Amino acid sequence: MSDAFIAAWRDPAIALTWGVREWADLLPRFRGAGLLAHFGERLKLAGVSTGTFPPAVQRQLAAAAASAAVRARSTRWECGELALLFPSAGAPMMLLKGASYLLTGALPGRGRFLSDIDLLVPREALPAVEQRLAAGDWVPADKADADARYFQQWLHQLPAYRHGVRHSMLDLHHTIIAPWGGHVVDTDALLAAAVPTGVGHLLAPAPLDRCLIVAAHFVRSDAGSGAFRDLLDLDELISEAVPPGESLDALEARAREIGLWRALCVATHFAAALFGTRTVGPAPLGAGLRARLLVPDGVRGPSPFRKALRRLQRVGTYRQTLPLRVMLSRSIGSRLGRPGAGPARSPG
Amino acid sequence: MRVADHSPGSLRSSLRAGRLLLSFGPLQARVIAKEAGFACSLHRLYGSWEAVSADTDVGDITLCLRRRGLRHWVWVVNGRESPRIFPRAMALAQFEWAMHLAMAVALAPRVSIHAAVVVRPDGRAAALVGRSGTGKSTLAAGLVAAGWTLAADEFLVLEPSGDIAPVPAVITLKGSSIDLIRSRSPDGTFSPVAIDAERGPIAHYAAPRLARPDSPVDLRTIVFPRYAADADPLVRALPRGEAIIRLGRQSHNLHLAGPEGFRLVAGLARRPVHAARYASLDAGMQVVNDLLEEA
Repeated sequence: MSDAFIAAWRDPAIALTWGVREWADLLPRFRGAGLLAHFGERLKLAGVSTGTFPPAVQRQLAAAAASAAVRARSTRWECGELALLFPSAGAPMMLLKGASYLLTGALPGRGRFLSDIDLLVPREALPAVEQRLAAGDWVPADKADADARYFQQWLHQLPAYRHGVRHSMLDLHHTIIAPWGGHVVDTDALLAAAVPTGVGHLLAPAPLDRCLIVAAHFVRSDAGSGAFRDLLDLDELISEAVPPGESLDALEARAREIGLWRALCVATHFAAALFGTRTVGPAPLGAGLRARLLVPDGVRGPSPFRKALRRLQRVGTYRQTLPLRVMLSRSIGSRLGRPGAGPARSPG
Repeated sequence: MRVADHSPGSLRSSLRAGRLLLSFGPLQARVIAKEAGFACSLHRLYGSWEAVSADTDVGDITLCLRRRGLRHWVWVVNGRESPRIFPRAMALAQFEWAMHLAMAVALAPRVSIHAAVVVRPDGRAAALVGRSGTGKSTLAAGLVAAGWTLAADEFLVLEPSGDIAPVPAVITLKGSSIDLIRSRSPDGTFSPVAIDAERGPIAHYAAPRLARPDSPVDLRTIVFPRYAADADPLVRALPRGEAIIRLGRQSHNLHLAGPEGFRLVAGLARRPVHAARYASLDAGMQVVNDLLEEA
């Protein structure tokens, strides 16, 4: 069954062959992954008529499309409000993820259910931007100072902001992924290449950079439905940024420049296992199997075999072994006469 | 075919195989559950609900009761595990909650409002709106026990045309209301009392009469009830602006409905809207009856 869910993204027309039994399993999976409205858009793009689908499926595709349209409308409006808050062109401000796809009309933004706005600014501009946000009634949802310092030093974003009246959420980033574990991303280069969105001075990442950002996001994500979504975004963004048949050399060169080449290798190979995405660099060990474990489960939950594999995989993930690796590198460092040596910094 | 027309055995095997579609007003819910106990309580309390075979349609929403560890269960709502984990005795109470969670998302472009709708024997209906704890369910149960028909509880569904679609419901009673309603409806169908971690003792009451699903409700008046044993009774007409805002606040899915949703709520508030405070169940029932007379 899991194959039908993946195959649908490669060729949406396959949905025409599904009967009640298949849809009963797939409809909740699309919705559970938050992808029902997006799949509806993909069907539209592929020119598939939904008229022969079971009535409940038609109803729910329409319901999901209606909700997504409302969310898109309010996010557009909220971006407009944000642009008004920063009337003069100061530090560059770049939207990330959902909001940037929406404003630039990128494929992953169609039918996407948007919950918050992600904004990237240079680290040195943070105090000024925070001040402006406070003036616009954006309040940090978590106000503890110690947390704020932790966020600034060790994470890629500040605690989420919530609007005092509208309760919309905003994430303020100073880089795209947390700056530990050997991933140092050249945020200034991303900002320098950004393209205008047409809404005030708000920018969006350049088409190639969008692929890199989502790849970076993928390698840091937990193995939830977010990881699957990142891979799908990556596949769609690559197909938009680099027309089919062309080589990915430009993307690869840009990835080296930004410091995300390794992330791009991993993410493209995972995406290739699911969607047949074009790949970059060498394949990581077991990418195909590990990618399949990220696919959302059916209604009845994972099989015991799948469950066991997931548990096994978790033991080997990067994040779980991080403390061990830090300890090892410190102890080896001190033996070599470098007291307090931190984790080795390898090039991105 | 109604749920009660299935034999308990066939209901159980349908639930196990995921072949039961429960008709929930404008939508249908596919329910999957292996537990025999859940099948029994469904048979008892949801007996008068429509249940169709799932071989002909998919179902708008999917609810799956899944075991979580040795002694706990969880409802998987539309393919996503809900955050509430509960012991088996709570499966039915949590079923209501899970169903509502799933409905709010699947109903678009309809708007739903946290309200009970009761129909007087002459066909005129009143909506009792408010968050839980205000006494609206107890008031609705009192009226239903006195011969009124239940057209919704927790979920008042506004169709894009402005009509109100009847939604079958089981009334959830809490604390002292359980014994109060039991005394009013000695031969009514109640679930065993379960102890909820947040809400204390709760029990479900199956309304003897549910509104027919195919005809819209003739809603004449809207009441924000508030049970307060020590306070003076008060009935206050709400200005239209306040009524719209208070109704909007009680909506589950207005944020998904956009400007059209706001127009629907504003249309709903064209009816007389009152806030009513009362000191006893009988006084509350009298207020609703009087407001229906005036409307």
